[in-house]
Amino acid sequence: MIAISDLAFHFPHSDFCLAVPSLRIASAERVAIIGPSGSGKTTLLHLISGILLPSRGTIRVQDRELNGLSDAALRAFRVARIGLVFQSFELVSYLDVFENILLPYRLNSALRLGPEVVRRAEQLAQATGIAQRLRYFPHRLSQGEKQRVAICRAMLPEPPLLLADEPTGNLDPSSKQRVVDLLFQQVKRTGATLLMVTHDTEIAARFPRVLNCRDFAAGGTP
Amino acid sequence: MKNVLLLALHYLRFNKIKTLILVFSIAVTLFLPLAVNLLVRDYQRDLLARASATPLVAGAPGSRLDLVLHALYFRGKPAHDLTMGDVDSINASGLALGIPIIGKHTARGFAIVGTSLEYFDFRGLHVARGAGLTRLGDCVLGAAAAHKLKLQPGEQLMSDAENVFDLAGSYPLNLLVKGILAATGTADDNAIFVDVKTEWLILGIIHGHQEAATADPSLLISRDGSNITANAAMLPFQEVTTSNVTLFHMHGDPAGYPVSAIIALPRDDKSAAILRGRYQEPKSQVQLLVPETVVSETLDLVFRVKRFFDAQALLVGMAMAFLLTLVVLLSLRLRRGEMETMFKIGCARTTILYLLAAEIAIVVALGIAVAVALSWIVVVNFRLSSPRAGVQRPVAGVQRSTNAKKRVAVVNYPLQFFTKRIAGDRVEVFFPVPREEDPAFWKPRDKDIEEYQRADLILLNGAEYEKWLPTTVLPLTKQVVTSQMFADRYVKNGEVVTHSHGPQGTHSHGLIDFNTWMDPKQAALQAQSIHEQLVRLVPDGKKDFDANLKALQKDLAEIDAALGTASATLGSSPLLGSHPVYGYTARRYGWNLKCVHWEPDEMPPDEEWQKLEQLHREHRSKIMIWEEEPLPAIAERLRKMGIEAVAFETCASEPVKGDYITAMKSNAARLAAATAKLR
Repeated sequence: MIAISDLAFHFPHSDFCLAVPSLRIASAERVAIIGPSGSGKTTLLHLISGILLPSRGTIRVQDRELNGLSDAALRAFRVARIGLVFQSFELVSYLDVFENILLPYRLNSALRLGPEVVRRAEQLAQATGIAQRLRYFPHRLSQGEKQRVAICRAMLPEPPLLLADEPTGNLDPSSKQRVVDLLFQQVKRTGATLLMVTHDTEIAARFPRVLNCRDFAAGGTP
Repeated sequence: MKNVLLLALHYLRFNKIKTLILVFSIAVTLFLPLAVNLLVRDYQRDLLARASATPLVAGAPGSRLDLVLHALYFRGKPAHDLTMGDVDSINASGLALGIPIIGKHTARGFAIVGTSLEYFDFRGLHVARGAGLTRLGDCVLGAAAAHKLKLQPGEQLMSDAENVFDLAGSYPLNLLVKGILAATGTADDNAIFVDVKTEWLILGIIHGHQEAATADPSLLISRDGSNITANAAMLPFQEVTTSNVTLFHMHGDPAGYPVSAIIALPRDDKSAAILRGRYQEPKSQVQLLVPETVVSETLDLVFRVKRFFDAQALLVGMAMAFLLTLVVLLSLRLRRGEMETMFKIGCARTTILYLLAAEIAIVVALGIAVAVALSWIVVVNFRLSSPRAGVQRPVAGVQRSTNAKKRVAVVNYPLQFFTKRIAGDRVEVFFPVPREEDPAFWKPRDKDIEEYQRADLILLNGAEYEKWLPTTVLPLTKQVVTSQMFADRYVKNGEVVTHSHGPQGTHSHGLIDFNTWMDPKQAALQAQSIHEQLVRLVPDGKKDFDANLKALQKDLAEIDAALGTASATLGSSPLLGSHPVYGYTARRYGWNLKCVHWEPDEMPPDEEWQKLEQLHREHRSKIMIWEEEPLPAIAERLRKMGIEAVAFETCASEPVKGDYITAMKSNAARLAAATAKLR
């Protein structure tokens, strides 16, 4: 599913450097990425999603090498294959819950918004327990509800790869577990691969595989 | 693109207050210059259109713009007036048609415009409901004025009081709404039109009040013979009604009455040039303007000022554009996270730009729409008039040419007879007075007045003959006074006597004898005047008219000769008349005539007989002439006094037998027979 070799990345005008000599993640695998702040967890997700491009090395996702792709091709790749869930949810404040879920379809001409998609969005809302909040604006939602909306938005196009960047970081303990349950349910239902960045070792413990970014810094292959 | 617009609308709807502030800011910035430009363009178009449709405007020396705005738009008042004599002067010049405009009053805020019927022809104004002006005190409303005042034909409208503290000043007049004009989209829509005489009535120059001669003595300051001075307690009538209409009167010469402007419609360019030349003297009491020139000059000044305004508006617009840019940039900073999220989930940066552009475009479009809407409201409410302001009937419309037979209206039988004798059947003669009524005291109905208005020529006798004329509305330029040639030689009666007889009821003979045609020489002059007008009206008929006039003059000369012969026998012998209607005949033939006020069909009371006996002792006449054969009892009693009653018809109405010529010849024959007995 994901194959990284001899990866190096550093931000301009910064001492930070992320190096991943080798990493392979299988299809439908659920992987937690842990590590201290500044160890490059989010950077790794951005590199895998094509938002950032490596300074060196290669990243292959579903047999597609990202290095040589143009901006448009990378965007098309992201739209077609990746779902993103963020720590601060990143909901659009002026759209209601339903429109936030449909947002990828509103913004990408590659995605066709038809009755089938609308029906799927309603099913997702039902499944994630926010069906009663579809006409609410984000400021009226609890943190857990916001994250569920974000998950619905990420899952609506049914991407084969779901990248979650500390989705439980702003949640209370009970909500954390429910969000992880929800993510597991969704990737199980669609057969997607899940990579989730977290600081929480209890949450990480629920994943079959855990990667520690500190190990990359040490130059190993976790 | 549909989705981008949808998202933009979501954003703007969610941020309602911000959106409204932005829209309002843009609208306010655009509204003022837009409204001003539209108004100025509208004003320019309307002013120029109406100005160019009005060839010349005359007024007293003073502000040229005030005069033009007053004459064309009924706004403001020129500082000084002209007189009706100036209108007559323009009309008499033959160079142009002069239409008087007098606007000194308002009614519930709308300008009252006194004018003549020619104005309606000139502007192409038509009555949509009701009827046109027919009498003193009538008004017709412009369509917008009627709508705003919620008035219908038949209702009344009081003119606004000028000064509530001036008890002896002019009082408001209760106008009768006779009709509503069809909308024209011009300044005429907002005016209240009255006849020029009605405006003089509001001014107090014409007035009506109870008969001073029969008034309560407490209302009189002095009574010196026929000269009666009333005090301010004798209030003028505030409404013209059928019962008081005959009590309205004017003092002085109407030629001296004020008009505030004159619209002059020259016959052609040459006439316009000559007319303008006449009033170009620096000391002329009349300025004659070409409205188009005045309006163009004014507009040039307006546009010079407007350029400064435009520059200022541009600077304000630029400042507003900078501020809006700043607002958008600050907004973008606040929305950076949202933009990043969109990019991360696969949105192209160009789509994000489109989204922002759509938001800005919608706000700007709404701002422009609001500015346009506000400007439209302002333009509709503050424009001078509508886009049809300049659409006028061509000047030629004043003198309508038609193949139909021309219509000549007359006011008494002699004029009817002379007209028919001269014109034959080449014109249609309208004379509505029934034979049994004396035309001098006849009162026209509305439909009679309308018929007179429709005539191509209105032949008046003059010498205060048409008692109904001052209280009716007729086209100025169609009226011709046939006795004008000898107006300086009208015979004056000694006193005013009021009495009652016949269907016309109570009436009085004024100071001027109006039976001008009773002198065949004067009748010939009146016939000549009619001939001139007929030739002007039907130029093709000149040859026939000339021949017919010659034949008529021959008949009149025969009457003159016959009367001269009969009068020669009479010499300076005393002669009595039953009525003061023979003043001109007496003057022509040197009669020593004294008259009473008797009617042939009413036996005078003893008191009158005693007066006659008294008169007869001083004035030993053996002949008393009557308008027709008196009652046998009267004739018999006169015979006993040694006086023979001789019928001498005035012919004001059509004779029962024959016509004017035969009747006058019969008069001469009867007089000759009576005088023969004097030898």
